[in-house]
Amino acid sequence: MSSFFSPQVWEIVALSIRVSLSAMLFTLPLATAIAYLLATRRFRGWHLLNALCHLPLVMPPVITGYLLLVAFGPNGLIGSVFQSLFGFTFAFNWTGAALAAGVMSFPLVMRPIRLAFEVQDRQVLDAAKTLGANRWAGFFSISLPLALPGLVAGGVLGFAKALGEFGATITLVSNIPGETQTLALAVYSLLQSPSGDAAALTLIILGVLISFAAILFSEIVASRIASKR
Amino acid sequence: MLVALPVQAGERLLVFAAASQKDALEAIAMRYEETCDCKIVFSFAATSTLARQVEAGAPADIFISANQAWIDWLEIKGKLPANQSVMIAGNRLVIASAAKTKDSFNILMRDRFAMADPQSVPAGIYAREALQTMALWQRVKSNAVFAENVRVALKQIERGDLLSGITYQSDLIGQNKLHAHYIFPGDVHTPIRYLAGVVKQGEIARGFVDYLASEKAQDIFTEFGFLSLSVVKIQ
Repeated sequence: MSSFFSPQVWEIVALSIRVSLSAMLFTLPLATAIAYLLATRRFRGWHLLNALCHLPLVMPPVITGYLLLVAFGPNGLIGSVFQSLFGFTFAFNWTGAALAAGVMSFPLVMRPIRLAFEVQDRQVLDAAKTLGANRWAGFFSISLPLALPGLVAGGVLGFAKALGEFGATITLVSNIPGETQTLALAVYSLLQSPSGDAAALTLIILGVLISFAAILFSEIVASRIASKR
Repeated sequence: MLVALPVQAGERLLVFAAASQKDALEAIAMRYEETCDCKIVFSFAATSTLARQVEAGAPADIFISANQAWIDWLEIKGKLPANQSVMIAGNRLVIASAAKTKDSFNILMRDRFAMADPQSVPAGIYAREALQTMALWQRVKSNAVFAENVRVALKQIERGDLLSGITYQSDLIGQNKLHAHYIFPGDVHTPIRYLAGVVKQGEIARGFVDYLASEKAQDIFTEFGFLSLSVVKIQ
């Protein structure tokens, strides 16, 4: 276990990356849509929606995890619907870990994207409209490309957050090696035994390296995009 | 010449177990896998977390609890058959310290000490109960530093941040810096008992639970600092 390239370490890292990437795959489009809505419109319930989106940031992760377990568990309201409609379950497999990671990272993904939409010059969009662009064309050819640094920043921040998520994950999907045991959960397990310190250190180093690489990558991409303007 | 082929792991057994028993249970499972055509996979977390997951329909075959309360709760919820769970081991509370001078529980009055949170963590609840029975709680509670679990408390003592702390006897196995400065008598708090229940009925699951109570498994529990059933029953 203490070797960097042992199959167990590889399995844990691969699972963590799969969970975090899947979480971002679903969170990013949803966060973009809601960020755009919040940035460009004022409507009844705006504050309510905004607060709801930020809830995972301030709620104890164990509460988020427990609520997800109640809702998405095999006997849960949403979980049982998914089970009967698609024969698909979030509970106690890696998709549930991705769900927990996605929900927990949602506010971190959404915020930079919302800011990126908010600072955009509305006149550019209005000019596009006078040239015949409809709302969708305006969004995809102007707003979205302009918000790209925000998307990159949010996505990578969310990825790093998803990678490190612990409380909601262990509460929702337990700690099953090879299925739901991500990096953070594996470190927790290893620290339960006095002989686990060295192996935990390996995973901690890998965790730091992956997070650091992700942030570094996003900063470089963001500054490249910014300098092209 | 015979070549030992790797045995194709047959049935997979998913065991939800109290994190404090990780090392002992893994050692026992490794022994058991030699005799059965099965693969035992553990999910270790706090007993309370695991119990709620079993209640929510987790695919666990076996549930190993660090106390009776969560077994009772699952029986009420209909997730465990009534009165079928088996006691598999016990534990003791100790004052762990690196201090050379042995002054029994007086060490708790001398300096700040670590213990698990008595609001919610079983180890902390036992510790407070013991100190209350011994009429010490009022005198020492202002010295107590609460940790979210016993392992955190243990780390604080190990690093020397705190002079001593209340942990399980089993936490000291594999520790070379710390020793049991004082061992609490077994009758000053609710007995610390580990129980195993079969969630999903099956021959292999039943077999493993029986094995946990067997002499071979009991020797391993003793080796890892737990109280074997023979000791528990005398107490």
